[in-house]
Amino acid sequence: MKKVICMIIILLMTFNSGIPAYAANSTGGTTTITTSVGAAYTVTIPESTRITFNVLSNSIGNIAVTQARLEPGEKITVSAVTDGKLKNNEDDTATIAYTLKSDDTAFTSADFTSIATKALTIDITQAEWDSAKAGSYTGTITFTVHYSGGTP
Amino acid sequence: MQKFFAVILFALLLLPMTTSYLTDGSMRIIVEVPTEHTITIKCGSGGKIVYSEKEFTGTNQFKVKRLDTFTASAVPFDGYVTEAITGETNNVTQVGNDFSVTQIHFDESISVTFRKTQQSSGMTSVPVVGKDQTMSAEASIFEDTARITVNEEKLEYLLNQDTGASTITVDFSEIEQNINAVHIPRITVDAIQLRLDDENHGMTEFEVKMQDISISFNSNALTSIFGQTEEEEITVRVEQVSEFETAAVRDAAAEAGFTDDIIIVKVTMYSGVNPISDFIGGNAKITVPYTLLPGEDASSIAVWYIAMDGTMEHVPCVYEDGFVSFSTDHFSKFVVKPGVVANDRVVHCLICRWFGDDIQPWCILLPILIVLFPAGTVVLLIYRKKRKARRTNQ
Repeated sequence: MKKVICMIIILLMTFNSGIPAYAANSTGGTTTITTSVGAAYTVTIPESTRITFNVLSNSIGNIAVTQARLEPGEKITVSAVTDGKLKNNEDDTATIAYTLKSDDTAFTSADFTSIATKALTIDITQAEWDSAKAGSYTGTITFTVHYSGGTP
Repeated sequence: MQKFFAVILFALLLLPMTTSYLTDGSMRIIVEVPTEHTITIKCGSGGKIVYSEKEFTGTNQFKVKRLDTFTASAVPFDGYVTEAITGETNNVTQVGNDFSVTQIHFDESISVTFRKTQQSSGMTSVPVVGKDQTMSAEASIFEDTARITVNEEKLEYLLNQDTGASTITVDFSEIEQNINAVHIPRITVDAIQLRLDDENHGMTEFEVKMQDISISFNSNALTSIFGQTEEEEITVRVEQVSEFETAAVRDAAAEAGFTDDIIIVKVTMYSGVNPISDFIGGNAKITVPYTLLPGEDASSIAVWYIAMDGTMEHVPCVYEDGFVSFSTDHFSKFVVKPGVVANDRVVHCLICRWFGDDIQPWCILLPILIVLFPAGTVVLLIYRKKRKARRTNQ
């Protein structure tokens, strides 16, 4: 039984380990060379920014895929999670509601298969600005980058 | 030992399924909301402003905490009454001589004007002019303001006799005093409007001429204006001013190259102390004098409306015999200026607005393309049809 289990483990380890290249001679005299090129990509997200008071749509920068060597059929998904509120630093019950937008529509995620950028804005209605208490406000947006093809 | 291997085996079996790769990052959004705002009050002659038990005249600025309420009083001197209290926005409310701005969330500019209560020292006659007939109207003049009193029977007679006149004009330009404002009674307008609404009569405009500037209202404008008030008269004031009131407009004007040589025409209308600025569905034609300077071309004269936020809008105009005329559906400040204005806040036309303000070539190219494409298609179709016919004949 132990031997059987050991054999299965060895086989699984073999299948899961990366084989950079494999060559075999066929009986027909041709040679097939197989190689594996790993995926690589670079995604930049906007850095912390200070927006302007009383402006309905503030640009906060871009999500940019500056390098994208992806496997066929795979994609990079950049998601943004936010509670949509800027909170007053002195009194967190005082908030300014905002919408994270791209191309004038609410942004939650974007798929990239090549080098591209997506401009983001923070949109705040005039009513929200008008009713905002004085003081400093801060909000956080968390970006998650997900590559569908696994670890590059 | 078997269990240990079983766990490893299970983990290894799972390995190929958990291949996705995740990375996280976060950014902070920071904004400062101001703690206070500035209320600027321009107090005209004939009165004072009382705020926090202190008295102020002229122009003063007050710092007010954000979202607080600012309340002050306009106190006219003896022999004066408060004429108008107007804010840059619609955020100013007035009860009697007290005025307030609640929930202050931006800088506000308020203008307070007073007028004397005494009656006019005398009456004067002003002509009411139709096409062929002219009659006299009584006008009481005080300082630069006239109140017209038209005998209803005489007006009816004039209106009935003078058929075919497209415009009926109350003309203050011939009298000695400089008239900048006119109180127009509802009853006069009602009588005139009956003719404006009567297509058979042919009358289309009611004109008030003050000095060199005249304003012609069409029927819809009069309907809209008097539909916004229950007062028995409205007051129209026209004046040439030397500067813009708000910083936003001043900045926009400076960016656009509006210098000292421009003419700023300020047209305001009040019902009591309440301003009426829009006459939705109606139009008023404003005519102002403009003398061409050496080297200036009449075709280069342009009129611009500058909104409170500094946005400029080109108003089509006509220059003829030393006068610039333009139509508007609201009263405000208008700038008469020769030459083209280069400014990214200028809204050139609908096409530019569609493509973005700065893409002016589309103004010319798009209409040409719109015309050329169907024309070209038609020509091509005709050519192909003829060629086909020729081939068939051969």
